[in-house]
Amino acid sequence: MKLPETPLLRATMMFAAIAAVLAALAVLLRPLLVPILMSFVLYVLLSPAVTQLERAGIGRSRSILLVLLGVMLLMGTGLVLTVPLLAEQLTAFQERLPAMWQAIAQRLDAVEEWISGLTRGVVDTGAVADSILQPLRDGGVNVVAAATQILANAASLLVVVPILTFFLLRDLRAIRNGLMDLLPNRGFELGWLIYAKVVEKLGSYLRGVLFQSAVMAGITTIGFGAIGLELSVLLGLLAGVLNIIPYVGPLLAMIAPALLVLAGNPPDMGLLLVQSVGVVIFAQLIDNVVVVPTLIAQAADLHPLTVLTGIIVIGYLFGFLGMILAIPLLFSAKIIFLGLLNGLSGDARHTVADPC
Amino acid sequence: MHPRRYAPDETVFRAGDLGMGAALVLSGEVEVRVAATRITTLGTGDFFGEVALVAEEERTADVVAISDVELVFFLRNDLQEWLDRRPRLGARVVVNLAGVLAERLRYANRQVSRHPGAVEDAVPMPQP
Repeated sequence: MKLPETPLLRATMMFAAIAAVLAALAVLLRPLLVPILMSFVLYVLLSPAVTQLERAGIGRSRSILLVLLGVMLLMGTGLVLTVPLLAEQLTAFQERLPAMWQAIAQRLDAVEEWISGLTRGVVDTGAVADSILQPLRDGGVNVVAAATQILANAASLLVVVPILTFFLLRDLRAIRNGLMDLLPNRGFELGWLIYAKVVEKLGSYLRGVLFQSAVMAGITTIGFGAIGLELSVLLGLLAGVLNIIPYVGPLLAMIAPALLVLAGNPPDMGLLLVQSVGVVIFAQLIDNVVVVPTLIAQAADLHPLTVLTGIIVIGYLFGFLGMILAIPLLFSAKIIFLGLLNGLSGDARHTVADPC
Repeated sequence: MHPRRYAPDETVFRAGDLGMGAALVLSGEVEVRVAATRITTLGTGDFFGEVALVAEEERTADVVAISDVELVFFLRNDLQEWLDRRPRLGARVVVNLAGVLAERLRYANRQVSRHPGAVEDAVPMPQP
């Protein structure tokens, strides 16, 4: 089949074909998507350590095994130390959930009565309150169930992820070279150029985001603890994970501590509410002033509107995982499309200059 | 290392394309052309495109196969991986590369000195 001559059309068609293949792969590997993604994260993080050992004269497979054993030892120790605390906080959270929702419902009832008095029964405030409360209730139960499920799956991930990471570290280069060798001669160098740029950006973005999440989790955990908020470790970790989602994440990170304060009904509720939101805002400030400009902005290089639209659309299509992956997907797509367009425009330029 | 085969008249790369690495001719012959003018012919054992190993720049000439050709490409990624994983070997490659580039520069200087005042239309180097 002869492709259309316009570089833009050809680039669009090739990009669509690449996107279709990758989407099909994602659907096919859906059950393994989370362990595969985690393994890729570990691959990026561990490659430098493996390379260092190789430089010291240790064989690649042995270097990988040594690094993985070290990481598993660290992770195991970390899990032994943190899982009981997390499980305890999750259980406490789950046990308190009905009381929390009841407290919030009572507050809504009070608000409902107040509004009803103001509107003299014109607005059906009960229906409005239910419509607000029900999704929150479902959401809260889902979050707890999902978090509990994640903890329950940790054991199986501890087996699958290291195995996948071992094979990625050992064989990814060979698999990649084999796949790139399938490119036609005309697209060989262009393919490698695009690949190199995507990998470079993904690596720096991933390292930046992990550091950013750790900073966010650390500051919020300490902050929540300092203002005397319960479940500070759990809330801090949640803020760290949610921070991966730009713009939307920090807002979501404020909801859980605010709900906890509302449900707890402490005497100084107003102050605690302001303080808990203040902790997230302070962490965001550090993030936006220090971490984002130095580590994230250059890697992402996307217009804020593109990021926001992407997060909403991809999040709607693929849920929470989609929201986390939206930015790397968007900038990878941008690099691939512009790379194709530039490469094919070069062809067109050459064809004009030299019809032979 | 990435071996590739080219048919006669097939373009290996074009002037203006961004380069990713150098190629060694394992068998057959390629022709280096600038603006459709033949500059030189390269055969088994010759290599070309080495500037792209150190800089992401546009190719300065077309390279076209004039027979069935077997090439092996050595890319920037490969050089970087060698430097990371086997620094001594990588350093040796870089030193050899510097020698080749210095030789090309000497050739260009000789050409310019033979045609003083014609720097704008300097004779292209025999290798892209």
